[in-house]
Amino acid sequence: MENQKSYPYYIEKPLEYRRVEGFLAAFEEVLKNSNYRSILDLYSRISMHCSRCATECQIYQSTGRPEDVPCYRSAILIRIYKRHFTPLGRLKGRLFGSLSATEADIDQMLESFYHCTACGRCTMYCPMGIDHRLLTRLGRFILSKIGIVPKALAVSVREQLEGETGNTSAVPLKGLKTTIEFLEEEILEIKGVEVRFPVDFEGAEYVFFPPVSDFLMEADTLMGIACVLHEAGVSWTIASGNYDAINYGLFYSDEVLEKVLQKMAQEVRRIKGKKILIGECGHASRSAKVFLPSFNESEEIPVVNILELTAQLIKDGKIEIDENAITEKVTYHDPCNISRSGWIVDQPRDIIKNFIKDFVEMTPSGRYNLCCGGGGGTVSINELKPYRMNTGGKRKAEQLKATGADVVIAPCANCKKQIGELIAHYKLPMRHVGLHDLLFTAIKMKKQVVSNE
Amino acid sequence: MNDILNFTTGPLFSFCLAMAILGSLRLVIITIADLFRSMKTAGDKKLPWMDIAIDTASWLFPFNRLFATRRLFSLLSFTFHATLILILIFHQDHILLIRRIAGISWPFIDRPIVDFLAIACILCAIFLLSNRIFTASGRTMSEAMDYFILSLILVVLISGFFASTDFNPFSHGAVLLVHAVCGNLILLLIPFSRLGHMVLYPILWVASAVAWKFPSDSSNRRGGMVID
Ligand code: SF4
Repeated sequence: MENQKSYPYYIEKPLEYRRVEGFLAAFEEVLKNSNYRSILDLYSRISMHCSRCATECQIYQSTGRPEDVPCYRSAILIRIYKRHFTPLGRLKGRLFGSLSATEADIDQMLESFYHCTACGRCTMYCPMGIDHRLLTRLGRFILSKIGIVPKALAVSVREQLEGETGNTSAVPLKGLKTTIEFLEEEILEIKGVEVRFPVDFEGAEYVFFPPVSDFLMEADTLMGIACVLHEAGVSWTIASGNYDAINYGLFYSDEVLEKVLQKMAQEVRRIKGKKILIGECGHASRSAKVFLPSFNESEEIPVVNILELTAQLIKDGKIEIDENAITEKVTYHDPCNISRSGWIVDQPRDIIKNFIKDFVEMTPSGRYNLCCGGGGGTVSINELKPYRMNTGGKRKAEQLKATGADVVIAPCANCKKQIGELIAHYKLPMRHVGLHDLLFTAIKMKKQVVSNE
Repeated sequence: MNDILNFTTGPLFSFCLAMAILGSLRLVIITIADLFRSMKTAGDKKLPWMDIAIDTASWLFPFNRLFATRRLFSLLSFTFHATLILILIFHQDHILLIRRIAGISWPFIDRPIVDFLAIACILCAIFLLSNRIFTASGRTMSEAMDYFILSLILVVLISGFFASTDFNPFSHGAVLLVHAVCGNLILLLIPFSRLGHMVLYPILWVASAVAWKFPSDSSNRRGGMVID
């Protein structure tokens, strides 16, 4: 696989020739079947190239490479659009023969679009409101149509949409059931209460979709969630036909985004659930909350993130927490996908103030937080690990260190993985957890009766 | 010289102004029509109007944004825009020009103040141009058109300043002619260059929000690989 060398990440079938033609054909196809043309037209007219975004992109802050200036990256796509897909651009191209897309552009885009962690921070600082995250995603989408998509993402998506297990971590139903039994036993042992993870409970208020990797790696998060829901008497269930909230479509493909969401909605309908409850996962929450209404016009299925629900349950006095259970100094990482829009910023803090006395904010935090450095799907691409550690991750590590905290809460599967790797890489004297991991320690359990069965 | 000057500040100015207004109107209409077209196919038709309004307004009056990042750049960039708009609208000579062709007028800003604004604006423009030339990120990002537009504005400002003060070391007519010709050129460029941001500004955040509203049938619309 000689060609593989020129790609910064593994690709299943690297295209060896006609990449430019392919890219342009894919671009044309995407433009024909989407609404991207209008935003490309607009951005090409108003981008002032002021480079104000550069100073706030943590990737550029770390590398200092001009190619990592958000506007510069977006400008490549916009230039190709203008040259090949607008009448004036085509005319100029014919007259002067210049500025056509080149192999070098493809190389630059396939690298650059996966350097961006799609954190959306630059947009907050752009006086023209240019959404570079949108353009990064569009660039990736077009590239994916000529097979340029990191193998790690492509393989997971194939398993989720076409594979036997139907989820990104290939966890079979049998495996899920064994894990659930184990978790229930653990809760009984630790908390002394019988708590169930209901499966296929028809008509439940909430159908629970965690990132499926939690079943493999985040037992405490899941046990915390189960205890909260049990204690508050919430009607909930896991669905046996689909128990994965992960949606890599958010990172690189409209089509994948839609198919994964349709699959989720179908499962909710099958077991007559009323709402979708997403676990501790930023991108999965945003995909479902923001994009399900786009693809599921016929009926509205409300989407709730577990942090929202838990905050409400605490507010309603449905859960009792031992306010002295956590004595360590704790900080909170805002996952970009749920905090940048301001959707989930206050809720986790409302939960935290109930039982964490020594809490310290990161600077900046909330809507303006720094990305963990592994956003936009890059955390799942192992070959990008050195890059993740040394660019955006480096800034994050500095930020974490500055808090002096013993514990960092990262309520997102992606952020957890990246922050865990950062802690190991930079030997930071702290550990990382989900918010429900701490709640699992602090929650006072009273109810013995299982709520749904 | 007088004839040329009269032509430049008379019929040519009227033509350029009309082009600027009609061209900008066309630009805004096309953009809004595009947005409507996108929303028609979008599966989710709800837009976060409150967030959009807050973002738009907060950049229009960016007082709490100025010091968030690149403080000097942001402050000078804001001063540049604010002073430029004030001079453009409230300079006595500009108002006279409009009264001559359209018969309308409004109060003007007194000369010493407008001169002060002009000096501030010129200094800011020099700073912005230097930023493009002398910083790595500025140089990387800037295209020929970016330098051209900023230089053109600078020429208009400097010539305008000299034309309306007593310190003019050059021929008054020549300086005024430069001012008028370059000013007319800027008017012509508004609908056809990045200067379009002047008129498109109020819909930028709406447009970004609309761009995330995908058609409801993305995957039925010829998905899959283009090259296998
Ligand atoms: S989305 Fe984040 S990583 Fe990407 S260019 Fe903007 S600030 Fe940088």
